[in-house]
Amino acid sequence: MRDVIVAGIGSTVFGKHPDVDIQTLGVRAASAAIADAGLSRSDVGALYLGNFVAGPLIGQEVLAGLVADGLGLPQIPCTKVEGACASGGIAFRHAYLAVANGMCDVAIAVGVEKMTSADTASVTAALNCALDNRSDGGSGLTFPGLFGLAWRVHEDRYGTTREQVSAVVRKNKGNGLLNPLAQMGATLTDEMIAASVPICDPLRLFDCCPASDGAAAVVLVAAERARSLQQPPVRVLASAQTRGSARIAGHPDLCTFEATISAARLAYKQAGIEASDVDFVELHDCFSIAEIIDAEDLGYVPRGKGGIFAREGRTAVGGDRPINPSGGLLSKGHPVGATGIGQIFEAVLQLRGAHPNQVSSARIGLTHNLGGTGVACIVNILGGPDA
Amino acid sequence: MVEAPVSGIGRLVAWTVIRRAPTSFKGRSPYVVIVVDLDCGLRVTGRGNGEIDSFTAGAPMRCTGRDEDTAFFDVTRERQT
Repeated sequence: MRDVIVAGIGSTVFGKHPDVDIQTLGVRAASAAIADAGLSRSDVGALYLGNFVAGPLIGQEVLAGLVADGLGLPQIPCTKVEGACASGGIAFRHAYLAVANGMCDVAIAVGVEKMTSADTASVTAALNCALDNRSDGGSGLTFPGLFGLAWRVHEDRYGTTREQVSAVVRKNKGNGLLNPLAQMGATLTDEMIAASVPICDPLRLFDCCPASDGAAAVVLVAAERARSLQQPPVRVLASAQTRGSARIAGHPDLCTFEATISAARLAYKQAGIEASDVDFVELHDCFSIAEIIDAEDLGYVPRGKGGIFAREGRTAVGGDRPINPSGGLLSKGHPVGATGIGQIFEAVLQLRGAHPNQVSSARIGLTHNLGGTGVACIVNILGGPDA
Repeated sequence: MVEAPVSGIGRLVAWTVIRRAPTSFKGRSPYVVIVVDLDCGLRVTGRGNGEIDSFTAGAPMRCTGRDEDTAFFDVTRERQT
């Protein structure tokens, strides 16, 4: 397989876009990425688009073709992929594979979602498409509820406290304040978090990522063709995708996602590195407790210590184990299909040395995108020019 | 495949209280969703009957019946073994 460069990135702000239709959101992010790469739309050889709930929520499908229409792309293969919250990550990986395997020299991965125009109950119901509804959905379970279950197990087993989980929220919301793409950054205290509206015990409002509209896109180019491109080259060192159970009963341990553990192992092996070589991660903090679980599953912090590391400030931008310097899903929001690609956007900015919350000497970054009940996981490892 | 009846006795693995419900459950919240390990070896998701603070990890549970969506469980007293 050939070396592949992330040559261009583009993103809308993640937040409320009530007057912008889903096609326009996707086209804006994708055109920005093509321009950032210094290429033109006639160069693109394939498009992969991640989206989760446009069908059930706004009645719009064929999004890959729709966005390609809006971009005026040639008659290339355009493919929509769905893996719940991992849709964007899956789209990225397939765009990467298309170039790495020589199908084309330039591929674009776009992620897009519109969710804020619907009421909370409808959004919750649409997101519940990611449950195995035969075995779990009938109980009235929701995704916050799933992580409520996981939190209980984590606190029973490791003694994780409300204050430790709140440290994750404070950090990510604080990081989001400086990220122009994040609309839900905030300065929060432990008291404000603990007093916010209960969503599903023990989760409160600020423990949950906001629903969001948004789109992000990246352009991937074969390294041999990327020599003349305008941005500092960021190389894909690894891209691993695994599956896990769609059913709760299929997870032997409720506070671990097997798919993350295996994707991380594969990715470290592909890149020829260990977890300790990674300078920062952008991981899937759909809920506060998820950041703790994900960091442990990735082997980035020791098992059971995710809460302690957060409380001690070790996962801050300036800490020894930076997590979500972008502010993560907690402050950017989670326009579901766009999130996995938004993470790549943030990681590329870090590796270009151009992020508002810059991790110093960032050379190797990891992104982690997890779908539904851990039914799909993508772990990517990216290297900056000095990697 | 054939249906096989199993005992509804088991242990509570975890629980959560849903306060923001999806559309089809609107109006019923708050309600308790539980994960139970049945003695027969199956893990099931269902709903918990009773007071919200009556649930603790490892509590013995007993299925009291089901509706078209899900199974319901009581917390029982510790069994004689």
